[in-house]
Parts: sequence; structure tokens; C-alpha cells
Amino acid sequence: MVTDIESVLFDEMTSVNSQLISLASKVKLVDNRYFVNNSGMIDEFIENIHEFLKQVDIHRRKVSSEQLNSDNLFHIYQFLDLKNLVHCCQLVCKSWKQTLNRVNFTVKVDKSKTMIGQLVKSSLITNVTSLRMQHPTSDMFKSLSSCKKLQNLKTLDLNYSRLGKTAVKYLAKCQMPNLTELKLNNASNFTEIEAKELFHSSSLLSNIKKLEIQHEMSKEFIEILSNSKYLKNLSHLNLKSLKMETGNYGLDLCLKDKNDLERLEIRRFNLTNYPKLLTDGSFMNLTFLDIAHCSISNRELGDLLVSPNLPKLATLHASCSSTDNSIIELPTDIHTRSSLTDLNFSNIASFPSLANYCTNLLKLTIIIPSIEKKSSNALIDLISSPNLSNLKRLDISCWDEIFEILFTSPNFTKLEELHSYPTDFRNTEELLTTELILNCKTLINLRLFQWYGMRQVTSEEGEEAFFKNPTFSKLNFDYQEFN
Amino acid sequence: MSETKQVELTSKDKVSFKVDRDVILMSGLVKDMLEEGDEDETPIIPIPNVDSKPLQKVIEYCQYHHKEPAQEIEKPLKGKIEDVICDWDKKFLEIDQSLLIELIMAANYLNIKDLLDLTCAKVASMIKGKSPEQIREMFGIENDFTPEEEAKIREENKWCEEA
Repeated sequence: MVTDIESVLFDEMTSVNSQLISLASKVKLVDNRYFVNNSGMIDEFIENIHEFLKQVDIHRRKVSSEQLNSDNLFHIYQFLDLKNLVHCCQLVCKSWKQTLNRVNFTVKVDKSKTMIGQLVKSSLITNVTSLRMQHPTSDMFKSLSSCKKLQNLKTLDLNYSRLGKTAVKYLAKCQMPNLTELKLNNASNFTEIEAKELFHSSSLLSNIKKLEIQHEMSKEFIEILSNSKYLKNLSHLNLKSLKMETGNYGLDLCLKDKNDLERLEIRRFNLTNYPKLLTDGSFMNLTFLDIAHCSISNRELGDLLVSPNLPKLATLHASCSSTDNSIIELPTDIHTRSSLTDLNFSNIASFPSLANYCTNLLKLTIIIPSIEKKSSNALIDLISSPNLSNLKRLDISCWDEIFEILFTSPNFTKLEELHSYPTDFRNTEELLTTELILNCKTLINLRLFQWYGMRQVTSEEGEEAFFKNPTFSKLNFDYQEFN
Repeated sequence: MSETKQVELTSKDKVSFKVDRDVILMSGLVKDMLEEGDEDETPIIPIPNVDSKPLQKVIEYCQYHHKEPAQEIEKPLKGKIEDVICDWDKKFLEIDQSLLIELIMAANYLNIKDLLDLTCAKVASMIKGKSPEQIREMFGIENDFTPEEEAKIREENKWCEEA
């Protein structure tokens, strides 16, 4: 229903509107000096029009702010950083402050900048879902252990922290009932004694699902992890040894019964100590496996590719120290692994029939700085396979023959990113010829071409050819990328 | 071959827009409605919550981005929104504040995630670096805190490094 005031306003505005139109036409006819001679009246007239516009504008802004309901405001908050949210948005009005209660905070605590004592007393402490402690002192852990409102904290990042006896004593007392992720990479002063206190006696870990730990591993340290009752249900485990495993550290015992693992990263373990550790059927839920810098035989590596006991494996990063460099032909009578979309087989060019198994690869990495003749042939065979036709990103060691395949084969029409690396094999004068670039008709989706290495990959004419050939219309070209 | 299938959208103020079906399938709401109904020749879909002006902008967005998918916008924004979006989106966002807010409402209602992200990130970019007073002025919001309440919040915020 239209109220009286609205109806009056409507009539008045209609009338003034006609008068304004009439005024505008009369203004054109009047002598210029008229406005100088009557400046007082004219200024007041203009001021009133401005006041009217100002009032209308206030109403319009109010309408738009009223439309910004809590859901929309929450979505806007996702794009603002912590400082803007805490110091500005929170103080705008009560409803803006209330919406802030729904936002999850990731907070970095630094002894020199952030006062942990005030954070734990703040009403916003319940918003904190992820906490990263930088150079924490024992006192900071003491403050944290006194807080009873950390029920929403899910991730605690203690990478590069000093975790001596006192720090761990307080840490073990912290009440974080929903903590699911703990990062303990490169913690110092964290000996077997502190590890035992944390992993064996602290309820802090009672709901832990994701654990990252990079440490100087020893048989005793691994044993402590293996015997912890809190680590049975892990879905993610990232276990990195700082030095190559020298004896048998008992990795098999540590992974025993961890059947829920979806993501496993292990570094610098000698996997030849543990035959069939990953393919014995214990890890049927594994989707991500990274064994970079581990030592493994080619046969075991082949097993990882073809084993039916890793049915969900989507990512395999095996930039390993292979214990032999014989060329391995994988069996032909085994089903393909269509689940695998991301494969890193750097330093291993001994599987020419690799592509027969991985028919759905979206990302492939094979970087081999020093390549021998037989391995180079294996790599050429691999890259020529039509099974690579879904690739979106390829990171590969390149020489002239590889470039020729990449720029002429019909298999790379979906390729969006090409990262090419130098190799000491067959270093010809011009690795990528102008002719190949000019005549390429297949790399129609290439958005990024990056060359890593000191020397240029093509000549100046070659660089210009990328602009001339319409195949490369999507290429985000940057000269620096050649350097 | 048959012609491209079309859909007719009717705005809150009863303006009709004919759009290619493939284009408007970017809207989760329309997609669900089309899946439920029969394959009419040109189905008519009422959009009772959106006026014609924002609806026209929504259609313009879908017509461009159904072929050129938008890049994900970083959360939180590190700089200005203009640094992370394409030229077409920059031009698209040259609109007044009230239409921008209407577009957020429309993108939310029609369930078009990329458009919701773009418009919300734009508002976030406008808010970024402004004081509470400047934000209030921008949106015509009244300060409903007492000075004591405001002082208490400021005191509590000390743990967070000043913006």
C-alpha cells in the first residue's frame, strides 16, 4: 500500500520534474550575466538540489546494505583477510559482527607480533580452526594449555618449533578435542623422550587423522610412532626422514593396521628393506602416494603401477633413487589403472610401456637431467603413446627428438602446460626449430610453455613464430620464461 | 540439424528473456528446474526474486563465461580484484553499487558460483583497507554500538596485528 507521504512525494517530484525540464530550456535563452548578478539565489538553488540527491543516495545505500544479508556478507568475508575482518568489519555494526562468528580463522601466532594471551581470552578464539605457531616459547604453550575454548581448532602447525621437555609438557595438556591435523616438521629439541610423552600419553591426539612429521628418524623414534594408540585411524601420514635410512627402522610396523590411509608420503626410506610393503593389500583406500627420494627396485616400482591392491591410487610421485637402471617391460595381461591421473616418474626412464597402464593421465612428470641412450629410447616410446591424449600438464626433460614429438603428435591437443627441462643428452644447437613452431597445428590449448635452464630453447625467429602461428593463441607468452 | 534449444526467463518485473539452454545451465537453480520438467519446446522459467536489470547482467555473464570458464579467485584477496580477473570481468563490474548488490542476490538465488565469487570479491575489494566509519558510509549503515561496546571490541582485538 502506498502511504500518504509517498503519494505526496510522488506528486511533488512529478511537478518539480516538469519545472526542471522547462527551466533547463529557459536557461539556454537567458543572458550570461544573469547568473553572476543572481549568484546568491543560484547557489542556494544548487545546494538544495545537492541535498536532495544526497538524501536519495543515503536511501539507496541503505537499501543495498539491507539486501546484504548474513549469507551474502559471509561470502564477502571469505575474500577478506583476518586483519580487515577483525579491525574493520567487526566494528561496522552488530549484524556485521555477528556474521563474523561464522567465519573460520587461520591464525599465525608469532612471539614478537601476536599476543597469544590476549587471543585465548578473546571471544573470537572459538573462530580459530587453524593455528600456526611460529617460534613458540614454553610460555606460549602454557597460555594455550590454559584455554578451554579451543573446541573448533582442527589444525595445529608446529613446524620448526622448539619442542623441548617443558613445551611438550604444556602441549600435552592442551584441550583441543577436535584436533584432526598436526604438523611437526623439523621440530627441534624433540627427542624420543618428548615424542613418547606426546604420542603415548596425551589425549591431544585422540582424534588425529592427519600427521606430518619430518624428523631425524631412528628405529626408536619410529617405534614410538608405531606403538601410539592414537595413530591407528590416520587417513593422512607424511613421514619424512631427514637422512636416508641406514638400517631397517621398522617402517613396516609403523604402517601396520593403518588401513584407513588415503594419503601417504614417505621420504628417504630404503624400501628394499620392506618387500611388497605397499602392495600387500593393506592400503586399498590409498589415493595419493609419494615415495620421492626413497630407494626402491624397478620391479617393486612396476608393482606399484600394476598392483590390483591399490585400486584407488590417483597420484603416484616416485621420483626415486632406483636401485637399478635396467629397462622394465611391464606385463601386458593386466588391467589398466584408469584411476591414476598424476604420475611423477622422474629419474626413472626405464618403463617404455608405462602409458599402457595409465590411460587417464592428466599430469605427467619425467625429469632426467642425465639420461642414457637406452633410457632416452624408452622415454621416446612412452611419449609417443596415444594413451597420453588426456594430458593437461607435462613436465619433461627435452631434447630435439622430444620437441619434435610434442609439436607434431596429435596426442597433445588437450595439453595446457608444458614445462620443459634441459638434459645433457644430444644437445643440438637449436632444440626447438622455428619450422616446428610455425607448422604446429596440435597444441591448441597450450596456455603456458616454460623452459627451465640457462640456454635458450629456440632462436629469436622461433620466439616470433609463436606469435605468428594461430595454434598458440591461448599461450600466455613471456620471454622471461625462456631463461 | 535442429536449432539451439532455448529457455525463456521471466523476471520479477515481468520482462521475458530468451536464452540458449546451454548458456543458462550455468545456473544451478535453472539446471535443476529443467531436469525436473519435460523437454518443452521453449520452457518458461519464472525468476520471481530477480528484477530485469540484474537478470540481464546475469545473462550477459553466462553468455560470455559458459565458453570461457572463469579462473578461481584467491581467498583472501591479496591485492585489488582488478589484478586477478580478466579484462571482460573488469568491464562487466563497471556498474553502480546498488546493481552490484542486486547481482550478488541474483547470483546467490540462481546458484551461479563463479558470478557470486566475482561480485562478492568486488565488494570485498571495495571494503578492503577502509575504516569501520568509511564502510558504514559506503553502505548507509548506522553504528549501533555504544562507545563502551566499541572500546571493548578494540581492546579485545589487540592480539591481531593492526591492519
